[in-house]
Amino acid sequence: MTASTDDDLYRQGSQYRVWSFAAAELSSIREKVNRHAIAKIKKEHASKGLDDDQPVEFLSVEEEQDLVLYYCGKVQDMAGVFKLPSHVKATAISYLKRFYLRYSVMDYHPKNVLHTCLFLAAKAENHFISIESFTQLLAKVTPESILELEFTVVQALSFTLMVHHAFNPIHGYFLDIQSVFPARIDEIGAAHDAARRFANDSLFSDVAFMFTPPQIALAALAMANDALIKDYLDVKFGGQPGLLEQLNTVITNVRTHIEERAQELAKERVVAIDKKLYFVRNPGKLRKRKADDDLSAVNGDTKKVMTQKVEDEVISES
Amino acid sequence: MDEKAPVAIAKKRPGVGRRDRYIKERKVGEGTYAVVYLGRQLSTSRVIAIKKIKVGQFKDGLDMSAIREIKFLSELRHENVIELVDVFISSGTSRSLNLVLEYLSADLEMVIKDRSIVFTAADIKSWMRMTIAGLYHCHRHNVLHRDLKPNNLLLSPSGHLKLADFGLARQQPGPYDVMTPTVVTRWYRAPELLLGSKTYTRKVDIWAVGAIFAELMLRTPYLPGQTDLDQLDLTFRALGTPTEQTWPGVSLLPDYFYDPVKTSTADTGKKSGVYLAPSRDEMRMRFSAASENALDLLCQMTTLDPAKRIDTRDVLGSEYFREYPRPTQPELLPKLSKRDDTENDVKVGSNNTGFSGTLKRRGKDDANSEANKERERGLAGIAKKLFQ
Repeated sequence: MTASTDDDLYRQGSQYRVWSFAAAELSSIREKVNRHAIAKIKKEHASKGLDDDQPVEFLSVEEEQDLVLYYCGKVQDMAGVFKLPSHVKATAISYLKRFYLRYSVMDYHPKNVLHTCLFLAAKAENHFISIESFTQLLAKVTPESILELEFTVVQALSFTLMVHHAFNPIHGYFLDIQSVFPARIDEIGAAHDAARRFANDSLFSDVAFMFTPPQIALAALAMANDALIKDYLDVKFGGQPGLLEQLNTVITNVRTHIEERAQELAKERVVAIDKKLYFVRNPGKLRKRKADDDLSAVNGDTKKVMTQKVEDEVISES
Repeated sequence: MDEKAPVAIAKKRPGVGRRDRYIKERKVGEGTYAVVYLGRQLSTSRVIAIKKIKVGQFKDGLDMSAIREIKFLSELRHENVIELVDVFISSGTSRSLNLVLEYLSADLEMVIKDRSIVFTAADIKSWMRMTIAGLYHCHRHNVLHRDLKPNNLLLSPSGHLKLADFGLARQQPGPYDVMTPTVVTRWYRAPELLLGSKTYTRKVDIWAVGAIFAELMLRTPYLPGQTDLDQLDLTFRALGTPTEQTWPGVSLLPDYFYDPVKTSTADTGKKSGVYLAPSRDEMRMRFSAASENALDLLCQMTTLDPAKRIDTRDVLGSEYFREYPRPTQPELLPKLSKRDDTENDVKVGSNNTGFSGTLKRRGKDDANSEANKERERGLAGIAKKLFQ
């Protein structure tokens, strides 16, 4: 029997092995994915005889990121429709975010991938929803459209379906903090509830790629009640100033990352990115739009109609 | 070739997700949700089993059992858990999901049934130790196996035992979630499951291992119920009917049927009768070859109240594993006597979803199923004798 610690177990797991990165590593993966997609699409366009005189505007890494996070929000809304618990929703969002470390939104549009991620997460987390009930509640989604991407998604996930979230560790801290400060139960209960909300917010940042669930849990609790966590850590680790300082640094870092992404994206920005993406994926339409633009100099309304049509197509899930 | 190959490939550790090549040499089994092939990993010539998941016919896409198996086996790496060597999607006319598993030639049920083999106490301890070591690893990962039984405990050619078939496994849910009580093959099903509990714990696996421990000593299933109700009756007859005194909260379980008023008015029939817990002497008689420490452990593993039932860590630390004899080295454990058909058996677990797990040599199937029936008929008799 090897005496492995809980940390060892975590390091053996896929979340650490496959899905943990330093910040720089994460950016370089995204840049590579973005470059790869652009090269591939350029090649496709060239093979279709679309020349460079009307250059397509490709998405930047930041634009890709914003779009993915916008659709993570959609996963959240949809999970609400099916009344799925927090961890199922969180798993679906994790799948979507992980998927886009393998592919660019220019390869697969997130509005399609997100349904498959949610459907798969429900199965993987024991909250099976049949494909009929699943598609019934979603407009413009067919069983085929979800299932045809299932293999692509599991493969992009490297067949790792286990995701550890901050919710369980939050509950663990909740119990432990109570045993340390039995008199502060109301305060602890409130911190627990708020921390779960911050853990939910954290899904819209990259912290899950860079920190462990207990680290995120501790930061979420600190965001909920800074004083409580300070007291708790003093009791637990007061005698180890080095460790205490380390923990505080982690908390600050996680917190900064979560807060950076706390603000909801402006709808206009998302629409603009999505429109750009539409023309990347349908370069023929761009050529048409140029023509329409020229026309609109003569007949002012055409462009407006065209733009409206594109918006209908791209943001139909909203 | 594949235009949409993923860009960044998992790189930290070889294994799952890596691209390797395999050849399927022979189809060795087929069930409702999978076909199993004996094959080889080309880079190493290692013999492996390939479990190809049928997909097309399932309207809900990837089957839950397949998802669970991939999900848990990707995380659980232990010498006593079947190794998921790789997963790949085969292209061709219809894409399919393939699990590459380590090659295992036998299971514990086959060994128990092989009447020509004599088990020593040290052999039993060795199998128990490997089972518990694998289970301890699962439980540390917060994973409940939920289908432990002798034919899901596979044996490698070198005698190592491996937990297999994670098609029913799941994580222990948080405090806000419920689970289905219809898990675990009947004879190994813990009383809280039989009583319809939806908030059970990893102790259901301990119960199953307890039943397997008893079976290793008896060489026949310990509690072979014919129906779910019969299973409950048999369990209580063997170990006593639980009461609020012996198992606080038991009367609140959904299917708890014991009605003190009805049963106190005389003998209203066995089905609602109250059985007394067996005495120590009764237990000694049932398991005449067991040491006192072995009996202690068995009783702790088959304690009706799951809260009082022993957990994996304490099983590992129990006196039974410290006293002599020491567990037999895996390599020296008894093997099946007729091993001329080794090459034709590939075990990947039983799979409740209808997959039989193994395919015997042609011609043996009928004989086997006949033997099974006979065995089952015989069991009812043995059980009756045992508890009269």
